[in-house]
Amino acid sequence: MSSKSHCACIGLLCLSSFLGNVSLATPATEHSLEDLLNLEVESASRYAQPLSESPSNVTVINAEDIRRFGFRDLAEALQMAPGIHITRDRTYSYLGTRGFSQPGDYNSRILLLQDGARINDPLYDQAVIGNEAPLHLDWVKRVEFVAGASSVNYGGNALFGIANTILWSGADIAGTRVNFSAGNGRFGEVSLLSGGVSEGGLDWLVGLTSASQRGEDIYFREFDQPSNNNGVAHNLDGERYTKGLFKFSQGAWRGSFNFMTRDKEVPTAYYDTVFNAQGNFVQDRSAHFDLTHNTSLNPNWNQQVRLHAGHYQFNAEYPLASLTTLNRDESRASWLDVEYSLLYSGLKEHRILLGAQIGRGYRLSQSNFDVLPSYTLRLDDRRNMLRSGFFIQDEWLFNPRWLLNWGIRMDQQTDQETMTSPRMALIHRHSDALTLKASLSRAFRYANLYERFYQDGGNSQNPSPNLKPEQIDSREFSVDYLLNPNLRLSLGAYQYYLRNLITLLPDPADASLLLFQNQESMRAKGWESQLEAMLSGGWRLRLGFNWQYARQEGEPLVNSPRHLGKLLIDGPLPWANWTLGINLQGVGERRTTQQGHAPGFVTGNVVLRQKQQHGSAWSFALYNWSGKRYLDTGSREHTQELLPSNGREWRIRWGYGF
Amino acid sequence: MAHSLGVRFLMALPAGIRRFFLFVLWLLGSGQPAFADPSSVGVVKSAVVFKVLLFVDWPPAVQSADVLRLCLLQEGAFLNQMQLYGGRKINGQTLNVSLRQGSPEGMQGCHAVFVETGNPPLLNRAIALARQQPMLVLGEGNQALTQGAMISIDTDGGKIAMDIHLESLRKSQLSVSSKLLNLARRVIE
Repeated sequence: MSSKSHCACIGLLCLSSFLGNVSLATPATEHSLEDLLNLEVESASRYAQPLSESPSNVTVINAEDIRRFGFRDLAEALQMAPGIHITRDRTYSYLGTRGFSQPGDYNSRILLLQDGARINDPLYDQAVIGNEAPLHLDWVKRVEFVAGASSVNYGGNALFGIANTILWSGADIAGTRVNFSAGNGRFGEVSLLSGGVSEGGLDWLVGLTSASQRGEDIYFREFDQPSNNNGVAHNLDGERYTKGLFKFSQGAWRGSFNFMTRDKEVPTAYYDTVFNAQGNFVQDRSAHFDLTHNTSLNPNWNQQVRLHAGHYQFNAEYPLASLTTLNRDESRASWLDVEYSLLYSGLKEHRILLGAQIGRGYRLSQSNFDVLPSYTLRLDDRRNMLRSGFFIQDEWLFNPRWLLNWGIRMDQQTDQETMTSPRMALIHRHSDALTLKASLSRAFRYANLYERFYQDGGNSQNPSPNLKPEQIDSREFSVDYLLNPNLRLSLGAYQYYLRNLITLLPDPADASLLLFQNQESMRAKGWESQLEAMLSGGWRLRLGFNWQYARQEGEPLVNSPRHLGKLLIDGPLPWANWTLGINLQGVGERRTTQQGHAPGFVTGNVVLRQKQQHGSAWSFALYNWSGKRYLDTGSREHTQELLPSNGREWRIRWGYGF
Repeated sequence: MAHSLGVRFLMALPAGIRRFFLFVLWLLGSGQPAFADPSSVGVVKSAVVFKVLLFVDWPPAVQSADVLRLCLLQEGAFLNQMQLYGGRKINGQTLNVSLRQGSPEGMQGCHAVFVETGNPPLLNRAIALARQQPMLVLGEGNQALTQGAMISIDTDGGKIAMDIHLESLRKSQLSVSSKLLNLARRVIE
């Protein structure tokens, strides 16, 4: 890691020199205001409405929050939002939203965007939020999480929400930042971010991160036998990742390229693999290229064209049957999406957005084969896929205090039925202090290719090609009340109804194998509350409490806590330039896949951070400070009903900016 | 290689979708390329904000001070750009541009606050504070005015447009010149 990062660092600095000095444009004061208002200007996101202004409830997590609370990945940052809880199985991280979290679903019911571009791959529909995400939090200016069904703009997968990561621009950074981190389990990370605007007007940003962690020994009581090292997985939780980003904009063009590679050892002996065996690992590789172009047809018509190309690659090896058999998965997906949207703002008090999207997934392949004792092919599934969608949305301000937002979208995909996703939202700004929102929406997702066609020749899973799409109907009501400038209270209530829920269950024809199946509908209801208080001395307190009840056939859903609590406090310390951030997350009891219960827990992080001083900044973080290993719910592929989390962890970070 | 891949991709599409795709490519080349110099919208936007401040009347207590404080609540390109105007004169007062925390305490002493897009709760808080002290609240984006901003700067349509909410200004003991009203795209009484 160190030599690669060193070379990359030098390369980055060379690139900065090549692109020229970081510069800011000189003020255009010679123009009159009238001239300025008549200037034709470019803006990379000219009419892309920030999700934070959407009719849904949105949580904004900005860069300062990320730094103050020491969030290490997107999952930790998103946990700030109401109704979110995180489950980790030491392979991937899973986002639970509003009482729904199916262990092992790869977050396929959440849509992940990067600067507005869809990141979910077309094979697993995975929204990657752990270290396997194709971005690093150092690159992120803010994260917007839109809660609730949101397919109307973006199509499939947005059943429970959209997480949009907005990355910095070069002009935002206007310099270079280098960060070094160290932590428990021999964690080390080096990260560089450099950006600026060249004299030719090219806004550029380059980011590079590389990290590795050896991990710690983990005890699983289910394997506590002498033949299994008394239940201790020794040196099997290591992880390495490298990520890179190049982003640019000039004139009406904006583009980015980023890549990620991650290697993770798997200590849980899932899929009946041999416990405490070397060679049980997953590899994730992804790359994304995004290009957008904005033009004005005339003052009332603006168009945007987006082209997005993505590639995802997954490899995993499974040591089986006392190490005499080694099985391997290899999956590949490449895809290309083209999106066209047209905004019409010529009708008084209306903003009408029309859009169309086509995408092609090609070389979507899943293969499974035995490496040992001899090569045996068990699965070789290769497909192409075509998908398209059309939408219209109108934002109608029919009264200075009333806004109606309605829209409808239709989607099609190879071999699948046409899906329609309407939404209607009414927003009433009762006064400067009080805003009310009500919405009805429908969203969907098609069964992904992994759920439909994956099988491993009788080892663990059978295919299920005829799965129906999931569809959710949701209704929400929320109140946002600013009691005074220092105190804000948000309350929300929701209900949703999900048809054709796709779940991995024992195959009715052979209970020793798993099979994805459409299940009976599920429903849920809940309410969310959040209090934000600005205290004296620059301190801020955010307190959240959620009640949620998700059930299926009268039974509470698996991994669905009835209660969630959040307490975040941050502010400056009396001595200069240091801040303290405390983050407490409470998660209620959850039902497990084996009909047991995972006990509720409270976990807390504390971060002491120095603001940048003469370019240098330190940060000291303690995660899960009590050291108690709380338990997450295992999924069907795990022998363990409950998976222990890490105990106390620490990180030290030093950054330098110039 | 890339060329052949692109052609193969096109040929693999159904005819209707292929026509749509080609239409989109044609659209890419159509339309007026947006004005690229003086480069980004941030340059023009900061100049507009500076000029707008020239046309706002604060109560005498504010105008008699030596310094006029413009506060921004978010780090980044716009702050960098706006800080280039620090030290310039606004009707005899020296403009001070600083980054503040988005809390009432952080905004104390600000005569104007600019809330960038993506922060509706900050806009609400700034407005609530402006009911207690003379403070101009500038918002950004199409919805800023409906969320309470006194003046909003919107970049829709390839030009920078300005909307003004007179009642909101009056509640904070502020007024704007008729010239500014004439230049506004929309004025809410």
